[in-house]
Amino acid sequence: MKQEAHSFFFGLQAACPWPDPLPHGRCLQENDRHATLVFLGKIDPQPLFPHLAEFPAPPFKAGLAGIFDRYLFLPEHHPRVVCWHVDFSEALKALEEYQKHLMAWLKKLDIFKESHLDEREWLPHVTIARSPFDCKAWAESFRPLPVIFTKIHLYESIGNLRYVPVWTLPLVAPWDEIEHTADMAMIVRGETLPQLYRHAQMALAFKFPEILSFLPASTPSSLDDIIMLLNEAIAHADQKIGCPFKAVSFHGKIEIRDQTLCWEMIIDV
Amino acid sequence: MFNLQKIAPSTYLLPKEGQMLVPGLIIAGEELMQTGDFDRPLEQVRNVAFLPGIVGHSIAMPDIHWGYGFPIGGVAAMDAEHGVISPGGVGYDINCGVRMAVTPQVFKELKKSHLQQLLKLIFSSVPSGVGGEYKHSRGLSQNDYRGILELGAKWSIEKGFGLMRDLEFTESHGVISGADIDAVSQSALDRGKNQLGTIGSGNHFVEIGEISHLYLPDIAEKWGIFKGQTYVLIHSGSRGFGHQICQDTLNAFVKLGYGKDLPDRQLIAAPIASDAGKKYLRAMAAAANFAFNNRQRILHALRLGFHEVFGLNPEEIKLVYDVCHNIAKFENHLVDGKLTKLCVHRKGATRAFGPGADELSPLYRKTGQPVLVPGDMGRASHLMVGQGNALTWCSSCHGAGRAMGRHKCLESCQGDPIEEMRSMDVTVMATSRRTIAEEMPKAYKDVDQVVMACQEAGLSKMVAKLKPSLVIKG
Repeated sequence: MKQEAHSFFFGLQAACPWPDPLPHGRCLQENDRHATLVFLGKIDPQPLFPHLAEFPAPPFKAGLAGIFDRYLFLPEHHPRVVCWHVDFSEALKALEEYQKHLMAWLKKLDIFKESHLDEREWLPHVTIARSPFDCKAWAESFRPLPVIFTKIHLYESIGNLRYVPVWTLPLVAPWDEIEHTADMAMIVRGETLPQLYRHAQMALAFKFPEILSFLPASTPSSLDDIIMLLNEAIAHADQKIGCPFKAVSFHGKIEIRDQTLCWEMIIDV
Repeated sequence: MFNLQKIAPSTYLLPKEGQMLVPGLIIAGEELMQTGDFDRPLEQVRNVAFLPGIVGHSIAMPDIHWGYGFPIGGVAAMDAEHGVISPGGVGYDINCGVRMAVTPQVFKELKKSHLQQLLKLIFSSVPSGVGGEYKHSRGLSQNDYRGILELGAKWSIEKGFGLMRDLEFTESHGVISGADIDAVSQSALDRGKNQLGTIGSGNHFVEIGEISHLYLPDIAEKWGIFKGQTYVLIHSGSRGFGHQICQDTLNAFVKLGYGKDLPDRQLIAAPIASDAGKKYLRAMAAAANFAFNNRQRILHALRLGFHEVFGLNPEEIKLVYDVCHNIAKFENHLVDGKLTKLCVHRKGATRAFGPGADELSPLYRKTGQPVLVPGDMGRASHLMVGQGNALTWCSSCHGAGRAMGRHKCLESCQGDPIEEMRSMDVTVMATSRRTIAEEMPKAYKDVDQVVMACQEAGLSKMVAKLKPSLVIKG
């Protein structure tokens, strides 16, 4: 009996402080949750592999982070999936351009029939569960969460909501946690000062998602500004709901490594 | 990297070099120096020695680990006239400290079911963990704050949360003078208003257990301690109120440009005599007095719990002592043979006055003051007696000291931490399982080695060993 061909797609692997448990539904496993970049359809991937050495380099040199800002049930009528929309903020434009560039590169390869490529307008989202599910429960349980994208994979969809990476391009992480004896410490990266600030915010939110509601939308002009703004959020959160952080330390300085701003952020806990 | 020279048992000199104004002094046994990360805290010891007005040594206790600017387990005394005050030398949790009390009960004679009932009762009556506060209370008013700041722990006692004799057994009689509400921001008042009488999160706790061993029975007897006795330990501080005061001060110091020319901006410090320095000292005293009240209220809740479960009267639960381990205090010490007023920063270090110290109550003036050294929640804690060691400005260790970071500890935690603690005969309750995992005994140095180093170096002597059995973690 002939084995049915599988679908392939390029996608960004998502990492998030995933809520557990989630409402009822056929949930994707945490490691399989992703944002699709380009859907290739049911193809033979072999002709693609030799070209992957020239895979377009992603533009986000300091990593890619966003916020799950709302839920979506897709398609709108008779929804089959629960998705969480990603607010990429200022990174969205670069990401959209990259997605288009990737599509154009794939077309140029001339190894797929064009009908395989899904050219609908790109919607930044991550599918969390498939039907059957309870829309009300998913809507009520939704809370904004930080999300980062750690790798680009060529995924093979093997059925039963499982997706297997068959090729991987690692991305720079917006931050890395490092060992600290008493507190928490992270190397935070950003291409610009505002992005460094945003990634520092996301790093805090990964540990304590509730802080997202307290982060002031200001534009810092120095590292001291960043630290003071983060501490303002911590103080506000502590006053309203309690916060596991005491403060971000006035520690370190911004260094430039690989054309990226880097800062060792220490959080007193 | 560090040219440490052994000068006495468990005592090492870090010679002066570069811009260090004084040498470093490290109290540690050889085994401890191999435990965990020792280089970064030693670097911090060296940095502290740059601070203007520092006298004697930049000192590290055996429980030293990496902290904010100063190492945790650091002591530095500044000349009160020409020196600086550094919020990083006090810590975010101003007057974080420990309070120990004992009951007349033999711990092993208490029914396990009653102990479990007690634990649950305390857990429900004393808020703990992130967001642990009195959510339905009206909160502290401006007048309440004025009373707390002016009277210290006496304010709570006058409101019925304790006994007047408790003050005699509290460091500085439960009040640091000079506190001023006008030096405190509205944000700090708001953060603290529902947090009085709460444990907080992180490494804060309430612990109940048994006095398992006596090293100095004579002193123990004078203090009303006997082998097998039931004890309680409370570890908490000034909560969000103190954190905000520290933060407000750091922001102000940064804006005033006090961070320049320091090897680490976290050491930012203002001259004691400056307006900014004086304002911090007034606000720090406010936070310290909040913390004394906080521990007073928690002890009161414990007394109520023991009364409900065992029928003990509050008077039967005697406060042994309450010590600050994150504080800067003005004290007189001999410098080059001359009595000199110093501002002694103790961050993760305990004052350890010996016999004869004027500030102590009559009982402790005879023996030296109790030094409370919580270990980890599985192995042991210690009760020591201060020796008034001149080299360390009468200081001693404050705990076991972390050996493993939270992240690493969490990652290495296999299985259920509550069950693991139960296998060590310890029942733990916490609002967050993650906290328990981060606070497992393996995260800490061996407290026995820490207190031994202090004893060998002549800082304090071991009086009794405490074995925890019931623990509420923040």
